[in-house]
Amino acid sequence: MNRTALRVSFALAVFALAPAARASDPFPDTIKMQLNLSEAPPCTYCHQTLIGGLMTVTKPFGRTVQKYGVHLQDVAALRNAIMQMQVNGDDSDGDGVGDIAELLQGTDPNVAGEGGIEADEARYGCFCSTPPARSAPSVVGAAGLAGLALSGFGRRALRRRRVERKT
Amino acid sequence: MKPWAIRRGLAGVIVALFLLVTCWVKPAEAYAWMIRHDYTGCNQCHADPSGGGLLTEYGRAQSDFLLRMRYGAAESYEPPRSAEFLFGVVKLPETVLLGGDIRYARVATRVNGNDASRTFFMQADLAGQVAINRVKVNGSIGYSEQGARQAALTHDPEHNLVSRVHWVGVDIGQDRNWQLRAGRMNMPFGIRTVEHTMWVRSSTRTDIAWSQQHGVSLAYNGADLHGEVMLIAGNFQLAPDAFRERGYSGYVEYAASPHLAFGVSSLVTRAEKDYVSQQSLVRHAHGVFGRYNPVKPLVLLAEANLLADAAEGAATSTGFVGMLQADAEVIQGLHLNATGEALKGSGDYGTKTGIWGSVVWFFLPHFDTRVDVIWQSAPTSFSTVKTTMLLAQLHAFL
Repeated sequence: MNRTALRVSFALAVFALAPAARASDPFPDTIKMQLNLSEAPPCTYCHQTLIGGLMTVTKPFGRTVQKYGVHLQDVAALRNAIMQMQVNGDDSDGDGVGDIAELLQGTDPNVAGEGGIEADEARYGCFCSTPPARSAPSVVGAAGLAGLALSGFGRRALRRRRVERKT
Repeated sequence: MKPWAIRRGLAGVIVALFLLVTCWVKPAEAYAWMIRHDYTGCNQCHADPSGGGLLTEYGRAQSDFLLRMRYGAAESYEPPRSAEFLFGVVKLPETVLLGGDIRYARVATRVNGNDASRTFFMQADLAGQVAINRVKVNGSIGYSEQGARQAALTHDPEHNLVSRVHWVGVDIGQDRNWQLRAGRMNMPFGIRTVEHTMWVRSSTRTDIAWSQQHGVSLAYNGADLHGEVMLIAGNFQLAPDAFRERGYSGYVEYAASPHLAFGVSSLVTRAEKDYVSQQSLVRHAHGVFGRYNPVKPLVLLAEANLLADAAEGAATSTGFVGMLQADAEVIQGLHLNATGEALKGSGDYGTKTGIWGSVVWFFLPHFDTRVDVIWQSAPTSFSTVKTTMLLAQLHAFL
């Protein structure tokens, strides 16, 4: 019984602690090696967030890479795409500097102005013009406030029900 | 136990539930196949006049009578206490609606023979509405672990506080058939469906997960006719202003009978700089949709839209998107669902095709689970990419 319990506990611990699978983990390192970059490019050059993941390739550079038939963990297709993009001079942000040239320069191939014409980058969130340095506390704080408000509301409702019962 | 201890315990449970909900996050319910129960409109059950999300008191009752599996329980016209918010633990005044959604999922995907999988919480939203006579104040708040940045209130790449909808509305007319709203709202277009990744929703950017926009809308809900038109002022949770889409979106649906409804949708938006293509872009989507219930257990849903993208300095490129869905409720609460979809986006090499096979089981009050198997084929200039996806979800609403 103890061995079974241990096995189940171990499996649960592994399940709980394992990081979420990323769709194309080897891609940044493949690009780094192929172009001899000092650092691997961030996932957000292709994906919406740093987590990566399926169906989150929303960035122009990512879309360009996809046009060359690159999909989940297909490293050979990615290598081929990089070569083709270098030959074709693809320029996802249209700033006059090719995508591969931007990777070599260390600039974002999605953002015009980083190596080309000046432009803005999309920012998300409320009061977008002044994003705070740290927003995690705001999430926790807002959630806590809403929870407190809800519990207060619940108390009032309970009080009302008690009065209703008495009458 | 002393009363104050019970109260404190209940408050603790509510706070804990809220925190539990806000640790996770995606979209709410929107079941267009409710036409099988003669519901051609949406506003009877949902606070949103075009459906989806927060339920009315009547909608909660119907979820118990008509949606869930009843395991032989006798029919009743008196909704049970358990159908109410938080299973009836908290009695809400008639003027207040509260709700919430928790969705937990596992996705396994195979793309051209390569496998990946992950397990994650998809949704954690709380929603509420307060009505003061004809005026309604409605809003939702939740936590998004990843994605849904278009609905974010905070500014991080992930782990954001999100608000998908927040609006003020006023009922107009003697029968309150009209509703004028201002704020952030779901885009009125096509069939409002919970399957937010379906191409008819994602390619037109009219899903209920994160594609809401700020603006002003006028909705009408009559006996046979309902519709909504929205003037889009832009998504003010996206900046700078150049990225905001402005234009209109709307639909009209006519119920020819309690079992047949069809409608038209239209959408035109313009962004100085589209957040995907990074170019000045005018987007068009215009189409038709229909719902048909030939026999009680079967509902057919169909939608087809023409797409057109006009980027500055480039020729207008056109495409189309469509879907046909058959929903069979084999016994109350258990649905078998087959969907075919096709998409030729303006930038796509060829026509993508997809087939969904789904089982949806409303197994308890407030709880449902579903499994979707999705096969997709997407031609590219090099080869055809074949994707198989298995998606399993457990969903609870408060």
